[in-house]
Amino acid sequence: MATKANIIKLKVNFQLNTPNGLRRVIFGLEKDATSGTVVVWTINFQLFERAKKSDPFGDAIVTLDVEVDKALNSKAEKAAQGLTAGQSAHALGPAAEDAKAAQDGEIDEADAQQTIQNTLKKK
Amino acid sequence: MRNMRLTLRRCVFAGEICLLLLFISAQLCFAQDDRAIKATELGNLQNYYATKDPHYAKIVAQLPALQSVLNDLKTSPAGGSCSSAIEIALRRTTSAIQTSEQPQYGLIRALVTIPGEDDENRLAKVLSCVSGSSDPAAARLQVIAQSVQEEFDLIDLSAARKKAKAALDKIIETDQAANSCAGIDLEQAGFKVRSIRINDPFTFLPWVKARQRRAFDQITTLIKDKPFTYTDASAKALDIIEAENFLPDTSDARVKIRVEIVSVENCAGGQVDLVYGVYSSQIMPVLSARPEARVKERETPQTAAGQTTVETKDASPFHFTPIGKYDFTNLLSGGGRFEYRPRKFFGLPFKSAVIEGEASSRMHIISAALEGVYDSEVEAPGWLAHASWLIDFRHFSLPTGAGNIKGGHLIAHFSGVSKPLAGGNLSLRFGAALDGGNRQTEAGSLVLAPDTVRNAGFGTLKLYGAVDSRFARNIFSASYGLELGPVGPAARIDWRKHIFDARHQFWYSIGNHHLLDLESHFTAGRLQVPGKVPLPERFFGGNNEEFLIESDDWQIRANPVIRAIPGSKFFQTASGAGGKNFFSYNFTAAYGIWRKTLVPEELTTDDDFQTELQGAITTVTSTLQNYYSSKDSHYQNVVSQLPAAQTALTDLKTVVANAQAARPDQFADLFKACTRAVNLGLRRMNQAISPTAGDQYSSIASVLSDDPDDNELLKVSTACERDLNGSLQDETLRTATTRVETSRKAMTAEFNQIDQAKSQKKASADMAFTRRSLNTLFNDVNIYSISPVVVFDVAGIGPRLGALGGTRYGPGAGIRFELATTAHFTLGYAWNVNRGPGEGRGNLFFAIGIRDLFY
Repeated sequence: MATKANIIKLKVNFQLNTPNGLRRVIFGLEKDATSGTVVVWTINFQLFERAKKSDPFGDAIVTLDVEVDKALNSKAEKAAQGLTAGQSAHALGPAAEDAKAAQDGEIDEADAQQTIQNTLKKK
Repeated sequence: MRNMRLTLRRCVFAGEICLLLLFISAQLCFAQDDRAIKATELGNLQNYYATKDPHYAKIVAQLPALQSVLNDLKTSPAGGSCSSAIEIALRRTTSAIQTSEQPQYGLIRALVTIPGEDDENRLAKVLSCVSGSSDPAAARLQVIAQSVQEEFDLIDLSAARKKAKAALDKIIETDQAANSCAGIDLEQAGFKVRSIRINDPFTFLPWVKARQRRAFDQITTLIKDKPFTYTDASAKALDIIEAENFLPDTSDARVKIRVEIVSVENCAGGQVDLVYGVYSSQIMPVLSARPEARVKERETPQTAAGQTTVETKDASPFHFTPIGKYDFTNLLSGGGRFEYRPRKFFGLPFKSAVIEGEASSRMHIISAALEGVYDSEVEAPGWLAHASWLIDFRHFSLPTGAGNIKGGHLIAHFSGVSKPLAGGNLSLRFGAALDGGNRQTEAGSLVLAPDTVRNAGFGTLKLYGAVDSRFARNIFSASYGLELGPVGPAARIDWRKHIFDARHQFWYSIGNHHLLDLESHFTAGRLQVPGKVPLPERFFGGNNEEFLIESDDWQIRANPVIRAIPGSKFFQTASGAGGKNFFSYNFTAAYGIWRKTLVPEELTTDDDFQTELQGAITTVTSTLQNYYSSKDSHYQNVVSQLPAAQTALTDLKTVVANAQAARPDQFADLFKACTRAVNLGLRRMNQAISPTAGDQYSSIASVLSDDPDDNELLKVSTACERDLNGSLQDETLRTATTRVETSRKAMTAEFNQIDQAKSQKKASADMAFTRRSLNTLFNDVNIYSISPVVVFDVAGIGPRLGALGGTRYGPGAGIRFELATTAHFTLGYAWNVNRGPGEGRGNLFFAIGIRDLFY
């Protein structure tokens, strides 16, 4: 007898292109039930750029994985309801910048992670 | 001897039970499906609960007395000729005494009389045999048998059945729970992966199938028959699926969404099955508001989900969709639509070439067209969302029952669609076409009106507009078209044709994905003839649809359609063949009685999924809001002030460095904090001026954030002026810090004047149709459905005189099959309730569309 399936991972990705067609942003939200009961929420951002509209988008120039702090359960629920304009601005601004800066060794990884985590605190 | 017999009887009884079990087992093994098994279990449980009835207990209490009287009867003279009947009844009674629960119930049931069953009835058979005997044992048996029968009839079998059903449901639940994976840490529990499966509702498309197969092979190698780990089963396997890209770019601009789901099932024997679901969709933001789009959502969800226009090597540039139709006048017709849609159309401004045709022994319609489209990006400025153009040659010959009307023409058509207006609740369409060709009438019994010519060359100018709106479960559309035409190559207006065409579609899920679809289509037209008009330009009605314009994007119907009258046979008016005015209303109601959902029910009923889906759209809307805010003039003013602020920060950095050099051993921590704040502020400012990774608006919003914990410029003022200069009291430092703070305040004031409400409204409007279309695709659309259909048509044509012209009514019914993987077809019959001269009693209508054979 077939049993009911249990979801262990759910991932929703949205993709949109900027008006000039040179930049692509992918927003993702993941829910992991990693050990049957413990749920972890992660927000993903990927930023792609190309020089000309006729060029293909290559690999993401910035990839951010914002694991929602387990202490911020209410924030996690809010994240599932979508990012506000302020949160979106923070994610595409300081969070993306700091992630790249950390990748390039300009700032500490911990500082970048903190900036990324701050995304959910924005109004 | 008695003991031996008893033992023998027990063995026989045991044998009977074994045979019964064997029989049941055989049924289980070879014949019974789940339903039969459940029915057997239900019956068995019902018998069990019957034994708990108080009346049953009273029967059991009488069994010894029954046994005794049967024994007496057996040895009495009356029993001599009835020994066989008495022997069997006695055996059943003795066994009933020795058993309990269901076996006992079965034996007691064999003693009493059950209506419609006469193979047992053991007590009745004994009584029948000994009837007329004066033996007191026979009289005693009569009393006991009657009592047993009465008590048996009083057993509440319906209550027993209810209890049995409740118990069975519980058993099934428990059985299911036995293999459930809920709450198990599969990795820690040491489960192995038994099997994997990848579900994508569009696997019937070859390019999807190819990706699914490749991903399946890789994931199988990665995890099958290996210990389960969350990293491999979830993250790594999904990476493989994502690398296969089940959502390639399309040839048109769309908002894309991809949903991936990993689930586990059948956790048994230390093994688990893994199921990956991939549900991708690409919505055309504005075009999804059209009624034409809703029909596609229903008939070919793969088209609505943007799966048929992908730019991938696996996808064929050729498309062929066969069609077939039948009605009493056109007879059986067949044809198809062939489309060539290359990635680049030989450098020409077209996206595809289309050849379309349909023909029967009585009619034909053929066309050859070149089509071009333009889609603006969802965030692009301007009001035009979509434009299309078409050059089309068309020839037709349609039977009226009194001679065919024919025509051939070349048409050049252009149309555009606005971005969503009125808070995202409506969009506008507009267009124009130039048309030239000829119209002919086949010799027959068609009577011509005085202002009408049988054959003529013509040219027309057509202008049209429409308003469309899509809500959560409704689509409204209203089009108006004007046709101006001269007979022959002349610059005059010989006729004017006005067409109004309105459609409404409503759909609602009654139960899970059982859709009730209600479609209404109202069309009205008027022909004004200051000169002459070719006969085929007048209005001919019936089951044939004619269009003022006909393209993929937009269809404006231009004749009275009534499914109860076949072909184009509704045309006789007081002034001759062909109407000068008409109206028609067509209502179709369908209810999906059988369906398979596009997205699995476990996903659509998952609250988190619904929240995430809406959340993802909200995130995109927020990003659009920021984009519109960046177009505000106040934002531009902020951008122009950035270099001054950057200079002020650079100067401050120098001043702080100088101040520290002058006081090498003082306030080291305060200097450090100030320098750090200035550096961070400068880094944010540089990013705002020339973003290297992020978006400029986002960087500026961050620099001017009203959150004191995040506002790096405000932190500069705090660290350098309040904290450091509070101790230093350095006038140069104060001046430099004040410049930064003044600049920050000026930019913040300007930034706060950006009309965020307006931006939010525009963004919400842009995404409104997308949000509604996505909700429909994920929550309402089926991949298969079968629906009974009820139709009701009313059509009128004029001028009217007596039976000529007037109104016809056409109620009818049928069935609709929509199988996205194969075909969609409708079969029905409509009655012509108020028929006119030359019209039949009704019409059998049938139409089939096969899915693209080149997918």
